[in-house]
Amino acid sequence: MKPLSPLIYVLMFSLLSAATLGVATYSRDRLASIPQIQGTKAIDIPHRIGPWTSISPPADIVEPWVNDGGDLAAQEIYDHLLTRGYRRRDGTTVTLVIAYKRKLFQEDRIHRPEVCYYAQGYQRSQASTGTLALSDRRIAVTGFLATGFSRSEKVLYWIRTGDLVSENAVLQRFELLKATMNGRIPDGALVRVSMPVDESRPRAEQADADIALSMFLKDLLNAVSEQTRTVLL
Amino acid sequence: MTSSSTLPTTAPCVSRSIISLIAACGFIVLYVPMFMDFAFLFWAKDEGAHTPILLAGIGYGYWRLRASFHWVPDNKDVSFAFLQFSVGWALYGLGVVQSFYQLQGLSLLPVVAGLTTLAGGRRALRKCWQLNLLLVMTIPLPASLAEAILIKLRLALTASVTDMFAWFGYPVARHGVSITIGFYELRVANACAGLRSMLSLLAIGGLYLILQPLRRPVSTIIFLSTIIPLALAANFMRVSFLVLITYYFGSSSQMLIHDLAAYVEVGVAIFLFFLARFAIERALEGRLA
Repeated sequence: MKPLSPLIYVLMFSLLSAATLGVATYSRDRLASIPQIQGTKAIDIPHRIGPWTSISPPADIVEPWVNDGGDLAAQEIYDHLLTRGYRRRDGTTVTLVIAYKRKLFQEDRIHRPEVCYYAQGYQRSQASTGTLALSDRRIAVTGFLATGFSRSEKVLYWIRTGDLVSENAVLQRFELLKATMNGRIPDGALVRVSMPVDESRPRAEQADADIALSMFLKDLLNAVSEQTRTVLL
Repeated sequence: MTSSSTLPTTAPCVSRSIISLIAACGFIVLYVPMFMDFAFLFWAKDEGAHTPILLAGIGYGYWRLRASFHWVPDNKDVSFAFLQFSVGWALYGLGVVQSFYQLQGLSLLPVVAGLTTLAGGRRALRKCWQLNLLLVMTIPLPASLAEAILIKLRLALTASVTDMFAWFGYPVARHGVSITIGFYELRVANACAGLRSMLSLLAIGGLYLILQPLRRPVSTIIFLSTIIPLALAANFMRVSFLVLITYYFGSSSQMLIHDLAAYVEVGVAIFLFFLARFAIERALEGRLA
């Protein structure tokens, strides 16, 4: 077969390229205009959670982001940010951080606490993953010990991306891909609890911190309304 | 090359410039909006400031090979080109719908490869594959990846800069990724930027080698192995420079020259690459090129 003039091919290339751009942009805008059910959700965390009572959060809290420039940009990462301290009757205190973002796109992210602690001068060690057994489901939680210059903290957290609770960046991206393919933009949340530990004390005492943190998380999920629970989980 | 021999290779029915122009239109339609997004989202933050330089360099690389583009593809070339376009369009479309900029950026590779095939056949593609591969480096690094990998480099860099200034007796301290010098705190989070752009510096080093290849494989390997330390050195100088500016002139001046520093860094890196190449040529290739 005699080849056609290359003019035909470049015309085809250009027209199909324009079509690609058009279809893609149209689909994106249509997707973005879908009303957000999640957008109306409120995060309402009670000030009394079982045996815990809220106190003002500690001043030296590790912020749930990596500061890449101005503070303003950092605040814009999340739509909703809650930081609060809680004290139990026996004096145990935990710090709760909840970060929520209504619409997650591929380039957005919920900052992983490991990275935030690292960037804010902590060394991470004793990374662990565990499951938090609730009455109706089990959640995968991640924990680590953050050793700072003047203090150390035990940290326990989970990150929800759409329907997925995982801190794995690849799985998160895949979840976003899946959700967008089904015509919705997922939301996401970080739930992080931490408490100071004295590293000079025996390891058993540090394990107590883990127990206290997971007990707090359970109490938290039992205390919140069904609506808030769907934001967190 | 079977059917092209039957064609008048020198006189296609429509002039080559018109064909090139139409192809360019298709390319512009796809990539000008994308680059505008990239410019706003990535290049404006100085982490991506080097990407336009790299793109211009790659463009120049293609321009130098323009003699290979005669626009007489055979049937195989055409099918292969359209296969590549299809992959490119799929990546691009998915990227736009998902706001997944890396996919969109990745589409540049098959689309440019397809155009090369269409314009100069598979022979031209073989000539350009290194340039084509280098386009990977223009894709903005995914934030999650950048954080995970670069934060270690970032801390190491912050530490070494702080150590150096402490050794010289400056009142300097480090806390995570911020450097405190005198009364000022320099968020060397910005150094992350520097490190992301270090990847562009590596790419620029690679481009230099593609445009001016060395004759012996051993000199090529030696040159390649010097690229990373030299890019790191350029980056180290940039951060040190910013620290010094902050110390003597305050943080507002630092902000002012911050962008400039990114470009100076490229200049320094290219100069270092040039020196390295000169030395390697002198030592291994006997005479000057």
